[in-house]
Amino acid sequence: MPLDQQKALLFGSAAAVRLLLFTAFPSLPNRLAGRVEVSTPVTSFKRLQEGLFLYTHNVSPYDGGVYHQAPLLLPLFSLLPNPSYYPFATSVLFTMVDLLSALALAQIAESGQSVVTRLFKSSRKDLRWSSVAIAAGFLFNPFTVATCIARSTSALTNLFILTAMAKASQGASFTFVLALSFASYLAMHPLLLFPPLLVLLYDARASKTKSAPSPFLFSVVHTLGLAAAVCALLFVSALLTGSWDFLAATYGVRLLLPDLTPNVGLWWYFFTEMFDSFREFFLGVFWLHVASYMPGLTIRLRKQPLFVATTLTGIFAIFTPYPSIADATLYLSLVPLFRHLFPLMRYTFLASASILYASFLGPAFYHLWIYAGSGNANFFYAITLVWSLGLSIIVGDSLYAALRDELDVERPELRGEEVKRI
Amino acid sequence: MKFSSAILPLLLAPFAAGEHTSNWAVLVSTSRFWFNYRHLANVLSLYRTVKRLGIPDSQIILMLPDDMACNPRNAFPGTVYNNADRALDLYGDNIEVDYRGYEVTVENFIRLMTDRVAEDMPRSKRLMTDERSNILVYMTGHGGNEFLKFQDAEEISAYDLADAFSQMWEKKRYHEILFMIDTCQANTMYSKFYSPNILATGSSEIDQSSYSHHADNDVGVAVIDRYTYYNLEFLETQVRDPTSKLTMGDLFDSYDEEKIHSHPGIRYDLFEGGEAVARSRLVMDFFGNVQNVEVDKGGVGNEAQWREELEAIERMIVEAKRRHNVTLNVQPQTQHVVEEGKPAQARQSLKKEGAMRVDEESGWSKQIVGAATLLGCAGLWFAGSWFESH
Amino acid sequence: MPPSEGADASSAPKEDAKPSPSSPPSLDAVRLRKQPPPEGRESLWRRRSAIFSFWAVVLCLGLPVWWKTTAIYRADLPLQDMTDWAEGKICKPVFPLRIAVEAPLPPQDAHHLLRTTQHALDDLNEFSAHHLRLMLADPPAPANASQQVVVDGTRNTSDDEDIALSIRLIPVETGATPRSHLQPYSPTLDVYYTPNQIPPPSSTGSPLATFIAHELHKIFAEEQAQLAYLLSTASGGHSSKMKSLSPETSAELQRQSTRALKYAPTYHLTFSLFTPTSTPSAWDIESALRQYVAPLLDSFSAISNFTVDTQVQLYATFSPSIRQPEYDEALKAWTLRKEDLSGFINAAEWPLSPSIGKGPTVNFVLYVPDKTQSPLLVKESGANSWLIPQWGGVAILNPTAPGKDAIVSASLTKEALGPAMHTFSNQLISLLGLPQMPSSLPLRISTLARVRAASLIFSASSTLGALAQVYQKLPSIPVPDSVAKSVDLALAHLQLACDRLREGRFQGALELARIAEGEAEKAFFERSMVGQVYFPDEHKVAVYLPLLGPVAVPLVMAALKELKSGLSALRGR
Repeated sequence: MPLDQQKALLFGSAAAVRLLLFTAFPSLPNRLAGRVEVSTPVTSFKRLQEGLFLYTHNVSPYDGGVYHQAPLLLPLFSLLPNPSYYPFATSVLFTMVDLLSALALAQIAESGQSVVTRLFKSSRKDLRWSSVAIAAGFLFNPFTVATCIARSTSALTNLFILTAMAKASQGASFTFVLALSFASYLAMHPLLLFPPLLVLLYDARASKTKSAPSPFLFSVVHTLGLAAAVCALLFVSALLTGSWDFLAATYGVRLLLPDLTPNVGLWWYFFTEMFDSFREFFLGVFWLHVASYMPGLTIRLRKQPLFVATTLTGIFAIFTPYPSIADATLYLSLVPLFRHLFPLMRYTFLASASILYASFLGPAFYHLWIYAGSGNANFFYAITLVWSLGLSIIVGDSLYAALRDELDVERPELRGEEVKRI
Repeated sequence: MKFSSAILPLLLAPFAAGEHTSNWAVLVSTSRFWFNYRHLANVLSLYRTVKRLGIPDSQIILMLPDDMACNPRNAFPGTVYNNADRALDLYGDNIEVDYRGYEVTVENFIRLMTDRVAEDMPRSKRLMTDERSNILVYMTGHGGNEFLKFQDAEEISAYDLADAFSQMWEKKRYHEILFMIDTCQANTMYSKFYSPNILATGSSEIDQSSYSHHADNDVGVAVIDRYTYYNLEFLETQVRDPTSKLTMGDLFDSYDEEKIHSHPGIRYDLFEGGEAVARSRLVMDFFGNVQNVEVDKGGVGNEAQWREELEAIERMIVEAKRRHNVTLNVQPQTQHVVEEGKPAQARQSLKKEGAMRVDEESGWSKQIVGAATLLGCAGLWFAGSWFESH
Repeated sequence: MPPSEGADASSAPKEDAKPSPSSPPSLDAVRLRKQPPPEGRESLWRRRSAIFSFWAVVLCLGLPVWWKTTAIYRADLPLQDMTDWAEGKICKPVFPLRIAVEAPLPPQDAHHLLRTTQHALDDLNEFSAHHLRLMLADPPAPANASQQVVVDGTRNTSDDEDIALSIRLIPVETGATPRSHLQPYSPTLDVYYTPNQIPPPSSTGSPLATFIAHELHKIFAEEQAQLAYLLSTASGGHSSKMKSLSPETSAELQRQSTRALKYAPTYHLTFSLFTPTSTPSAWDIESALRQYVAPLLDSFSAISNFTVDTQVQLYATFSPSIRQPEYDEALKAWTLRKEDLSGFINAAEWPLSPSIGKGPTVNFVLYVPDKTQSPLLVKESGANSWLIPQWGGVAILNPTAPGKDAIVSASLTKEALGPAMHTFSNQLISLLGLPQMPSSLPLRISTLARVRAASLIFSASSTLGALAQVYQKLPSIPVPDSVAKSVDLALAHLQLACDRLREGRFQGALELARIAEGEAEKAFFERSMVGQVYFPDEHKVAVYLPLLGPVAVPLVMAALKELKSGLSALRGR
């Protein structure tokens, strides 16, 4: 079967599955939208609807403290018919978002940046999956489907992150900057992806044109471009809502964690237990912890920028304040790009077992805690620990594999030998 | 003659020091959950007693972290008893709980004592005392060496309490305080106090537990603590009405270690005048609301003269107003004009003040603006990608 | 904790994976087995910069975050000034009262009379802080009045207000002279004299001057006593120059101050009608208030504002703990014992404490007893009303005669309420702390304004002192900038108020002192100034270590290793 036909079939069936779920189970979207694993205070569709209601009734959408998402989502969704009565348009929109994300993922796979970069060529470069397979892994991942059905706005963030990666690996500066600014505008933390993706873009451009541009000038131009794009978006938002209050209600909420609704991350439990006087300090510590990986990894893995970006999305899925399975699905769909590292990974069983364990027991324990009343918060928190453990095993193990792979290229004579830390 | 006028101020001094004009009570239970029924019963018993002795609800701050009366495990819904004979329903129908449930926190307690409360805090939830107020502070819950747990989540330390009292003293927020605490190792809680005029008593020494008095088998849990039980016994049987002349010394002498099963402590040293003065204070000085009533002179005053006076006052005021108006006209008040101008330049934003009806916007202008923005973004995107692909 | 484990997990593999050749050849164990190949310059540089980048984040961002978020912000307060105010070192309140004399005399005679009277006054005065200054009213205009007009346009009118009392000398031919009459509704003292009583310019004293001086002294005696009492109770700083008060006066003043409400810019008055039966169920309170109480409240408007509400409560019963009224054959009335009066108000069931309004509530309770229990009186004195200090007043409204049903009909008329309203206004006057003497109401009100201004200055100062004490004693409470601002404002207004007092402009002093008091209260009761819950330092270790320890260990180890290898490389060179 030719590639295009395969792709069409894949995309068609993925769209069919989604639309079928939307139409055959009309209560499913709302039920999923209420799940804490899928919808967080900063991505929930229900909260978006509340903001939308206020917006269309000429009240500031941030009055009432429910809506914490970017203002530009409001005009987008206010153009669609009311999802309470005509859910189809919204369903189609979210299906499209997923398909576009898959398309971007396929483009990343096709670019081959995951195995062969300008400075580095993996010794196992032939070991890779086709772009269709990788896109299929994304589209039929149950977490992706759940995110899509729950209409969580993190689907949009994921789309822009994947697009930014795709554009960076294709060397398309302008759209890269635009996509990344959208992603950062929506979710803030994707801004941390800028340095590794800039390196990726630089490598892609350098290998395309054969004459490397000046790194300094290159980074300055793109940084300024990104800043300009983000500022423009913020400015338009301020014009749209009539004030700058949205900054505190969106990014302020992400930074300061006022809403301690449980989620799959590690912050909520910690900060419910935290002594009030140390709260600000540990907010700082936790955010710095998330941010501190970026420079170190970018420097250490300078030759494999796409891998750095992928690892960072994994770190976001674990350590950001409001993670959901949507963040995990982004990471888990990017990992298959590095099929060549799989033989070097040591704990695949442990990682996959704990992810599966957490995904089945998590909802059960949440039910025990909240609805049955026979468990307490520790039950659910223990499961989120297992979930984060599973993800961090994958992150750590793949990092090890990537470094080992680099070593194999540097010193082919050591290949296959046991490494020992000294 | 000389001698007597010299000694009079001396005689007056203790009288003046003993004077207070209002009584307040802060009654705090710090534990929640059904098996701590007795702590809430303790507090409600004391609440009932001080109310009986005349402290009005507006001067009682009652902090109850849980609602035992409506607890699903309560076999007698809507009631709280402090005795197995269940003769007296403490809950009754006239309970004013000021702080309830999760409002009962260390922070709120300290805010209450120091009156650092939000501006919109109702007066009934504030301790509005002054230098002429006697305060009864009663606390019960689970505690330990120099701390008292609040709701199993946090604890107040003896230092916090001492600091709160010292702030109150600095701001002249009390005349005298009776601090009473029924918890394990209770006497450690008042050991750090350093502000004057506090008489403190607790149920048990360091490393000593305080015990419950008895359980009601139908309620299923202990209903009252020993120390509180015997305090109440004294207050209910000896202090029959607000005119009682019993002293704090009588109350303290009634403590029987055999019955209480722990060593109640009493701290006199902070009190001005020490033990003797503290013991001579009336029970009603803290548990009741003794007010000195001033009866007007018998017979109605000269009413005709009063009516005349009123008319004259009215004339006087009319005259004063006229003069005032004249002066107003003389100097036009420029300030007013400036202030009136301000509200007009309120921010033009979506934020609206006050209650108002909102309706869905009927026009399309908002949609058009939104669509234009989105189209702008999309256009930029496609222009960019077209540019890149060529 | 998981996050730190995560940190460990993802940084440790990195260290782990740092391939064996990359380690420096200085470790003995390694040397024994196999010499790892030397590390490439590029990978060495990259590893070091990666480690450095982690450290840079910790040092450049982590430390400031730690510093910023754990520091307790304490704005600077002028502690010394605040303490000085509280100790009364800065402002010694003085009360120079201006008294205008209108004399139909030639100027030199008038001046001479003034001088001799002033002399006599000064001899009488024992209280240096409070002194009366006589001056001639226009015409002729006093020399300094014209100056003041130039300084400040408003001065003319405020000068008028700031004259405490004017004396009108009226020559008469008949009656005993000199005699005086204090006008009850204006601050004017009429002095009648026969022209031959005017002292000749050569004499040093005259009966008229002595008479006026004595009259003035009598008029202001109570005010002096009140102020002296206030100064003596306010703080130790003033006691030295104190006029000694007789014990009786002192006790009486103490009783007065116990009775009076604390000063508030706004008082809330609640008039309540309680009855144990269903009648009367209405009262014409609105017009009664308008007629009987409003003029009084208006006259106080310079000092305080009032809000008023009313309520009617039917079937209001006594509290079970007080003795029920007894029938007294001698009085032919039902009687309440005096000691039971304090329990008369059934605090548990009568809704008497509305939590509305800003200021303190003054309660006035009108109780209409049941027909079967009327008339109801106080046993000892036969009175039917009493005052409860700092709380309000109670009046019992008995039907005048059993035959007249009109008064206990469903509604009470304005006329029926008259006596009760009279009682209430008297009670209100004493609750507000208005002095009993002299008989002129404007004079009494201006006395009250002076007393209030002084007491506000004292209470604002003492609040500032308390804040300074708290600031020094409790180093763990945060102090925001708004407190410092309020303190500055309070200090500034205190100073201004004190200056106004000295100038004799008491109304202005009262207003400024009120602002100062408000600001001082705002500063002390700043909401965010609740101390950190007591947190010993060893607990801090327990908070920091489990979380930051695991993160710090790999960072520190890596840094140490790099330092060591760097040092050995240096030594080897």
